[in-house]
Amino acid sequence: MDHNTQARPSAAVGRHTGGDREARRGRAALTRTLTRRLPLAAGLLLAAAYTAAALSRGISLGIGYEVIVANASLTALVATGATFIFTCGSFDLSLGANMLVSALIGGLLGRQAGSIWAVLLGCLGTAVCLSVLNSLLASFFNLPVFIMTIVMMNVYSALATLIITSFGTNSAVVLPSSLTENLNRTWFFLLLMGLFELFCCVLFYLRPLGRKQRFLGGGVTSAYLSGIRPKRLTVGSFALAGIGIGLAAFVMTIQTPTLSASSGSSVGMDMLIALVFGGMNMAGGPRSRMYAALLGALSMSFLDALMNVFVTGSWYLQIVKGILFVTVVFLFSLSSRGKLLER
Amino acid sequence: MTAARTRRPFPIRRCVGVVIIPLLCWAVMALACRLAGIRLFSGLSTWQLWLRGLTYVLLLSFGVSINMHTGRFDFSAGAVMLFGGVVGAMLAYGRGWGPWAMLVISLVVGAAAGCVTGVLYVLLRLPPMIIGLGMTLLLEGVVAILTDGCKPVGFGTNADYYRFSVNMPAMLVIGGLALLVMTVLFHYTRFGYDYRALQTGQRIAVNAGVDERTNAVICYTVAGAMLGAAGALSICGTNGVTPTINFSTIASMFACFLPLFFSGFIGKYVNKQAAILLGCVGYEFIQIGFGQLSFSIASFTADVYKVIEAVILVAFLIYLNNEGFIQDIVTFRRFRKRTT
Repeated sequence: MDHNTQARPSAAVGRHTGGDREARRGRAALTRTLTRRLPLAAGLLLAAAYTAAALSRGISLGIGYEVIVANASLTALVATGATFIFTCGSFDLSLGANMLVSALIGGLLGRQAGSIWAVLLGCLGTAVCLSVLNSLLASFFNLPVFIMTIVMMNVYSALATLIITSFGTNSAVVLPSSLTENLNRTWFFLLLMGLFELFCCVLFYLRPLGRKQRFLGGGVTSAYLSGIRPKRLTVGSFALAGIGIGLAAFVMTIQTPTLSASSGSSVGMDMLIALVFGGMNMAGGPRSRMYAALLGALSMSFLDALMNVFVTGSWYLQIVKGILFVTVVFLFSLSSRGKLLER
Repeated sequence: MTAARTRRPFPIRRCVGVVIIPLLCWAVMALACRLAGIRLFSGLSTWQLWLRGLTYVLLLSFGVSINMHTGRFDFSAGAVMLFGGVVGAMLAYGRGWGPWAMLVISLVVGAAAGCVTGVLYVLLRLPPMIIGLGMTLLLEGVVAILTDGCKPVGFGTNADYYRFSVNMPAMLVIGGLALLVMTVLFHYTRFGYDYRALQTGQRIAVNAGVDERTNAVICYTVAGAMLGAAGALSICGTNGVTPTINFSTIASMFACFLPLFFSGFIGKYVNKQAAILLGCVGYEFIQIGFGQLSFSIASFTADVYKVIEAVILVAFLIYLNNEGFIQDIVTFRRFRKRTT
């Protein structure tokens, strides 16, 4: 009897703790579900808002959507490739500068050969090589990723300026428009985006590569002990990102055959914001999503277009993006917060 | 064995370790200039430029090092520098207050921007990378609004601001004060002890009662003050600035990487802040040498020496991060171990 009376409070405490834990788990699951659906809901909301605004202001929806697809295609291609890098828990800010150098080399090759295939090969080859160089510096020579990315961003920007001053005219490398005009079509950008997204989704969700990358992003040591080779996988991820950058460089060359030092200057920034808007976990790991890049790029293009309807000046847009960027990451981090400050 | 490893190096070795990098930089650049038929320091004006560059890079390096050495990489450093410098220039030039007032305003504005970054970091508990990128977007946008869409900010025909940047006593005072503040703050105060405790063992320090949040906010504020002052010197030295957006300010941090990694080597023999100063001295020899070479060799443009600087930086980083492995190869230690 005594034993029972003594045991009862502890059982009650146990039940209470269990209930608390259940409630906490429930709340975390709800937050996760909401945050998983939030990017798609936000994208649809932005698309609806833009359509309504364009209709009310008498803006041609056909032209508006064409501009949105053209803008989104550059960001989506770079960001989709970059998803492989971020999933592994790595990071690269030099993708925009890499894209410019690739476009310039592709453009020069294309101009020399008089063929669009030379442009494509030049863009792809250069982007993959530069991307692999970044990964080699980070993985094999153990350079800190944050430092490497800023150093390479500077190097590629300087390299682009050197190429333009050495081979260009009037501070630009110009491609004959006859070479690119047939491909400067919305259907082509949609097709390219769709095919690349499909290719990446197959690799990411249906092949062991994606599973390994998510495992690596979750924890290097456990991944290594499970037989994954982190360095080799990181180099492979950067090479895949290089394909996305190369395709984006190709699209940029088609859209603007006059390439200057400022071409695609916002792509590096847009890529990061698109990933966040699409619901990508910036720390990588098992919660990474391949479709986040495409969803985020489209959402951001709709936001750009919506803002342009009401406000003139990209700097206001940049402030809005900055606030949204931090807010979205904050919302995603609500279900996993530690006692110590993050580093 | 452990005692032998941790003992301090011999005085001669320490002295050599302290001066080797600045000396090497000076010797290599002097030789390169001699081969090109010019002199590294051709007169007082070269020394003035050298000291201006040294003070600017010193402030920038101090600003970036505070957060970087605790594992927080702050991408907004360039944006804080631009914001502080632009606000200082607009207020001081617009009201005719002069360059010293500009420096003080930039410092205060930089500190305020840094404080906001720190408070956001502590309140939102997000990774510093996210906060840094968010603040970069925000500050670049604010600067663009202040300058009416990234229009150039300058001092017109007023040469006082440029003359201030090449005023050797003024630069010595600013550099000396910055060194003094950093040394006292990080080596002789409770804040400094807490900072180093958090640097080496975050969890243990927090469990032992160190207030990590206050420490982080102070770090961001002091870094912001240094960066704001660096921004003011940069704008004075170039007689104006054209603001840019789209994360372009991140690249301005590049200038402090080489001195900071030089200081990583020198810091084995001397106090960290003095090591940063010596790293900056070496770096400025390289900068002055490149500048002199660009006068005599037309193809040696700023972009070429940016690439060369990056190659030197990458080579040095590879050495620093693989020091043990490289020493094993150079001394044939691995080969000897295998044969025995």
